[in-house]
Amino acid sequence: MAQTTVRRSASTGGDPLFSERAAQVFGRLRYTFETGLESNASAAFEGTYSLAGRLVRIRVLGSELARCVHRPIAHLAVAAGDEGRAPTQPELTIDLWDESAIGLACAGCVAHDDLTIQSQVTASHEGRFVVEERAQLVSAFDRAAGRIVGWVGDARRLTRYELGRPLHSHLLLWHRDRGVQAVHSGLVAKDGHGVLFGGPGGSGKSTVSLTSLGAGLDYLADDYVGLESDGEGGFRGYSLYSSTAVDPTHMRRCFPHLVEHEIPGVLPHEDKSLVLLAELFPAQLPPVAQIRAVALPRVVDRERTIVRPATTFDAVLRLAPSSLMALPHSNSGASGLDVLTEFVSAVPTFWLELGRDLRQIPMAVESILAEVSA
Amino acid sequence: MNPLTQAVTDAAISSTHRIELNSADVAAKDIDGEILVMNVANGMYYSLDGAGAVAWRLLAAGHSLLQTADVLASAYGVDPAATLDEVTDLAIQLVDEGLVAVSGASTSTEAPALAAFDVDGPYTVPRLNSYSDMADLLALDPPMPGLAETTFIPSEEV
Repeated sequence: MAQTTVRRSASTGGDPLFSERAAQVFGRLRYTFETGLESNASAAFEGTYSLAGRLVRIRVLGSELARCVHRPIAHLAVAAGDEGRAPTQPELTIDLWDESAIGLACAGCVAHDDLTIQSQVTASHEGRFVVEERAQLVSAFDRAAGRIVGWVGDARRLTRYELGRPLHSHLLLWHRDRGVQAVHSGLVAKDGHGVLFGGPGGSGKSTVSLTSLGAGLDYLADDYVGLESDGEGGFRGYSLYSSTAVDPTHMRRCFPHLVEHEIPGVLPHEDKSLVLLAELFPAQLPPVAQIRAVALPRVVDRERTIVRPATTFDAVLRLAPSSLMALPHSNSGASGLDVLTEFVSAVPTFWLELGRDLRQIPMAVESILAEVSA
Repeated sequence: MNPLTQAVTDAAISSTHRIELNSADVAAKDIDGEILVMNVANGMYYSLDGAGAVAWRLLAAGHSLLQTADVLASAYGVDPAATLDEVTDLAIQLVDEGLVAVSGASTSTEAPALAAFDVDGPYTVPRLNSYSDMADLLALDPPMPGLAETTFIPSEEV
């Protein structure tokens, strides 16, 4: 959970000043971006992505920022030839620019040298506009129009958190507005059939997901999954990012092949290193899988990895608190708990007791998939 | 002193009190006979099983402490007076944790139907198991108030 611990203060609701300000910030960002787009057309990068199955258009002014935004979601890019089969209009447009690259400032946007500064989230009274202000990033989300606009002071100074999960809180809110529940979990798959791993930080989600990836299984997530009902009693799991955050010591001991690609944290609370997997395993990062089972990893002091049955309650107890209470904007309370309970009740649940021999972990995952697919 | 604590100091009225979920901050789910309760305001979460889960269901259904204790005592074959003390202790804990509020005295003298509640295993003192691992995180990173239940506005209505 360390990577998700974004210090944040929040203000919303009844104060009309907040309501007015959130809309004003969005309007100012949008106007400035459009002005910049007109005069910097040659510096514009545009891409189309499929986020949780929805078409999203991203326009960026500044090459370094474009690279930063693209890398964690590169596996979700829609190829030019595929766009013809996709809906003609994107459900979300994201417009960003890098002031350091194109020299375009925005009134009210101030870059802070102190990257540990507490981020501020404000929202309009009715919840339509949401603004997030961070040390080097000010972004605003118009939920009604389906548009996010953001200013970046210097893309080279974005934090590891921002590099791994660009616009994380806005996107989680956008997903939730569309019935996609963010679940704090990992997800791997084989032939489109997935096992979701639930548990708190340190339970082994990343270890299971990355050892499974190394053994040839498909990887969708090791920390956050977009969960959506398929309307037929089952649930799909969407990959939201290709980024993984691993303790540097653990990476060197268990995943040495990732070390040369690690992006170390620079802030005191960034105790894990970032690796962007889309560039390393492009053939093993599908965007979606049908979830066939839930496994609850826990580290045990023995050599072997063992699979045991778990109860539905065990699974909800491990999934719900960190999914429904710790994610930005995700405190969906009773409705979120209903969704998670419905999901967990629909699939077999297992304890996955992780022994010291890492080679056994993907075999155990495959045994679960074989059992539930039989 | 909170209302229920005050109330239970007066034995004449404590047993007729009922409680209701603090639904603004608390979500609860009955999952295969066990209860999960989350306080999204502070990150604490809780579980109840066995007789504690049965007691939660009875209390959540609007039964008074006395009615709840009577059902438990009858179902498990244990002493009603001792059970009332234990149910009262549980109710005080639920109030102190901010999960429920006292909703007043029950005017009904009718005991709830036993058949509605599965009793499995021997009686154990109703207990609220608490988990604080999320609370530390939320102290640093509080969820954003107000947005949680904000309804999305479809673009065609704007």
